[in-house]
Amino acid sequence: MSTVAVVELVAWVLSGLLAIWLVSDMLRVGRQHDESTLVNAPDPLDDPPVAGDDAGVRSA
Amino acid sequence: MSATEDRPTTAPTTAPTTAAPAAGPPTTERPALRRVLAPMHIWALGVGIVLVGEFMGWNFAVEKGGMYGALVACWVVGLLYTCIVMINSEVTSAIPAAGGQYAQAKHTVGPLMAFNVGLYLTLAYTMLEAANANVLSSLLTALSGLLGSEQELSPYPFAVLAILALAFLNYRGVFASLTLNLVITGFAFATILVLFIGLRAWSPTAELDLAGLAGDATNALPYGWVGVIAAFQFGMWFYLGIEGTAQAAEECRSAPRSVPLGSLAGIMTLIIAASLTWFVCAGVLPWHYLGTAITPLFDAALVSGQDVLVVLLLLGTLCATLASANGCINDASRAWFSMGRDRYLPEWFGAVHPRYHTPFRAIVFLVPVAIAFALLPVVLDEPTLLSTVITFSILSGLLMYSFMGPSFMRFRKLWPLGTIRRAYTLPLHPAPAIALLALSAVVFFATFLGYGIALLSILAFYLLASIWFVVRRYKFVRRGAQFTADLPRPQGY
Repeated sequence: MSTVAVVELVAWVLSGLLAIWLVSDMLRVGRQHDESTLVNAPDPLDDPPVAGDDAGVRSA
Repeated sequence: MSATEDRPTTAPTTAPTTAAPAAGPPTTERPALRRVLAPMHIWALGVGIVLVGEFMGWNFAVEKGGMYGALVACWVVGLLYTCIVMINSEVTSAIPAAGGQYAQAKHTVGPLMAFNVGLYLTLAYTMLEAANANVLSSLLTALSGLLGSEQELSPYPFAVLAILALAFLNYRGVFASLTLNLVITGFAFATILVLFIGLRAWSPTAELDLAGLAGDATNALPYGWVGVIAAFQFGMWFYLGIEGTAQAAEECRSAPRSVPLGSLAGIMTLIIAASLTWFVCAGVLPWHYLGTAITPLFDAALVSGQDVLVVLLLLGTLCATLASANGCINDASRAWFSMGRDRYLPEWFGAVHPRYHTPFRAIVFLVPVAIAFALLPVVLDEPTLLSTVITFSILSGLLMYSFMGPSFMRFRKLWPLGTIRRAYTLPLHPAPAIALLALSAVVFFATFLGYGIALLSILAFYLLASIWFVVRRYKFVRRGAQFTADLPRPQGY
């Protein structure tokens, strides 16, 4: 196996590992947390916000 | 993940929501984007996305308008982007929200405009990321050639690896990803300075031959002023993406301070880098060659015959490309996330990772899109498809710029000076907004000359997307999502 082939193989393996990790972590978070607690978006018309120290948007 | 991972980093919402479980605590805790960024990160984000345009792409302006045509384009388009940065600085200091111009359009114009701007942003940055990954794999092939390899590297694994590795970094946290951008962008900028010094460019007659290569009408302005206008579309390469600094506003420790400081320092850096780049390349490379070169700064280093400069400029080009792709992932995901959070898109995309505090689903979702656009030109063996991808990115940006001037005028009308706190106030209003509108029209005309069909196709695409939004999506939009900034009721409402 040439050096080029080895380097390309390493790149593919790393890509595969990263892709698997990203997808599995994303699915794991979805399974372990309630969906409504992950989305940081209370509706101001439903729940009028209380003025805080931080100028800006939402609680972010 | 342990339960303690969530506790120290979650922020309580201002009020419990109806979506919270009935049996839950009275105040639900939701993960929020983490406020960790400083002005230097904003600089790194803005300059990082753009600087690759100094290393490649801008020089096509020379082919259209000659040496001086490219210089005029560099400075006139620089004025356009200065207007954009100043307008962004004022609006973002008042509306510091992820999504940047999307959030601004939401507050000043309305949902349809906001949807389109969000789409422009996502597509512009995703396409640019794809182009960067594609270029990166080509650069690695060139590097392996320089290292003596006789076999050509396949572009597939490295383009895919670059996108996935940067997405992984962005997924794990904004601080690390933008700190990396700071380092590699700083290095890339330094290589331009080193090239300037290495060629002793302060003495144009020593290593450079500026008078000979750019000193008469045949190479300075070969197609007259029409050529200068035509060069404007490629002049955008010097600065395209600097407006992305607004995307990080929600993650700044102090957005009203960081965004104006980082953005204004960024545009100054870019104007200096663009002028130095033009000066060095115009004094070393003949205009016919420069107008079609793939990596003009690297070629200038090759002409110098100094090995140190060659290695440095190759590394600089690689770093600039990586920094651009990294910044694009950051910005595209924030735009997509913001639209999801407001239900302009499925709310699923509006989730924040409870541990890393990043818009993780938006980041992962855009990975296959970027990979597809990066590999398509290679898979189909259509190298020109890469320029189409880049053109789509440029035109999406241009569409957004053309709306920024009128949108800013409306912002000033809704919230006049003195009614809200602004950390930065745009001077000479409305001159910059009018200048932005006029310059955008000129660049549109220039783009129409070069890419008329692409421009019309993209306009048709956004028209269809708008129809879809109005007919199918608008009913899902969060009722109170229009005015989420902590601003008083606008004038006239």
